[in-house]
Amino acid sequence: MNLRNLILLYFLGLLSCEKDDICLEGTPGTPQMIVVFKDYLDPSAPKGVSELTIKGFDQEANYQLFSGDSIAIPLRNNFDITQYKLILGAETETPIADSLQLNHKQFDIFINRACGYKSNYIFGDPAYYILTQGKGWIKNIEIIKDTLTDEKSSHLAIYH
Amino acid sequence: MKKVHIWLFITKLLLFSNWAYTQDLVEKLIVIDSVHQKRDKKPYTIRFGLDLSKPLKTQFENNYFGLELVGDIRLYKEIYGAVELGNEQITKQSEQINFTTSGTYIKIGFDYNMYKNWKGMNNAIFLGMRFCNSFHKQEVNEYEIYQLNHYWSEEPISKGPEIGERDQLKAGWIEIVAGMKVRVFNNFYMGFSLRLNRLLSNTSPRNFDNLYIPGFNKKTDENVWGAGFNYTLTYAIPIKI
Repeated sequence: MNLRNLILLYFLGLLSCEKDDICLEGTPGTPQMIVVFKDYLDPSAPKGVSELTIKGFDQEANYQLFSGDSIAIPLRNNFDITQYKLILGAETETPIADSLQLNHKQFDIFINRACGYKSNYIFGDPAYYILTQGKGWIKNIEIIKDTLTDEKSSHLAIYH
Repeated sequence: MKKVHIWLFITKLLLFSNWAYTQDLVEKLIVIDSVHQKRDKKPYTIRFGLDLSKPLKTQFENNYFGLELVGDIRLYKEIYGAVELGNEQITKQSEQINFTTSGTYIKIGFDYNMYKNWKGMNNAIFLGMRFCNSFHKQEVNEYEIYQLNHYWSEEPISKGPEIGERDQLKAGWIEIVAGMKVRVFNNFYMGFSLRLNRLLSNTSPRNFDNLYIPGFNKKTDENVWGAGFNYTLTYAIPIKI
């Protein structure tokens, strides 16, 4: 057996060892719901909230203590509903809470070996329930986009 | 042979009167010719057997079944025709997905032997090429959703529209083969080969990918290259034609 053949066999052997694929950072995953807060009296104007506590039902930890006029909120994967409590002034003596249920269907899309599948959602009919009707701070809700396929535009507007 | 016939034909025409003599000569020449041919021809050795690595892997790995039959035949001088026929079933947990691939493959091609044998021996150090096809199916058993936000607890999805079988899939590829075959006893040969595979075509399963292809092995993202090996035990039948 001559040397050249040995070297060739060696390199062929090397090729069979390779590292596993890694899901590249920046690959768009399952989109979250983009919620914008708007003025009830002037529906075209954004109106931010301050110190809004967002907490999922049955969850121990808060999702976020949020101030601003636009936020991304994750929907519950592998479930048909997602329930959030939205509490204004949770730390004060007079908190006002609203509970929101979102109804959705999910369909999963294959990305690649490393990342696997991501979920897209379609809002159901009805798309939401305000579980605390009229008692909270939310005056109205509008579905802007009924499919969640990306996070580029807002999906839901909350008027207050 | 043909030339001899033509020559004889001409002689026959010239020596038309001497018919019996010519007839006799023809017979003699044919005998000489066939003896001469026999001496020239090397045996058309046929080797057949199986890949030992696949039954071994089947024994030691729970989620694998594999069998590969191999064969080669000496066609001309150092050129061998070669074939591999196999069946594999494998269940794999890749990064996010648990899936099962099963199917059959066939590889047909040739080997070129670079080893100078002594007379009567049939060892080989060879380079070769195969044209390969697989007929397989993919089944998604379970998967995790790729999410950037982990606020809600996540459970793997094991039922739904994406879970299940995608059948009637095909793949085609070529392999560059390098290996050796050594006679171990009587007519038994042990062989080893390494393969570099290049995928040419494959039918994409619905909302999934061929993460593994029987015979081709693991297929990675955006990559048409793969690799494999086999470890064969073959039996040679020398046939003299």
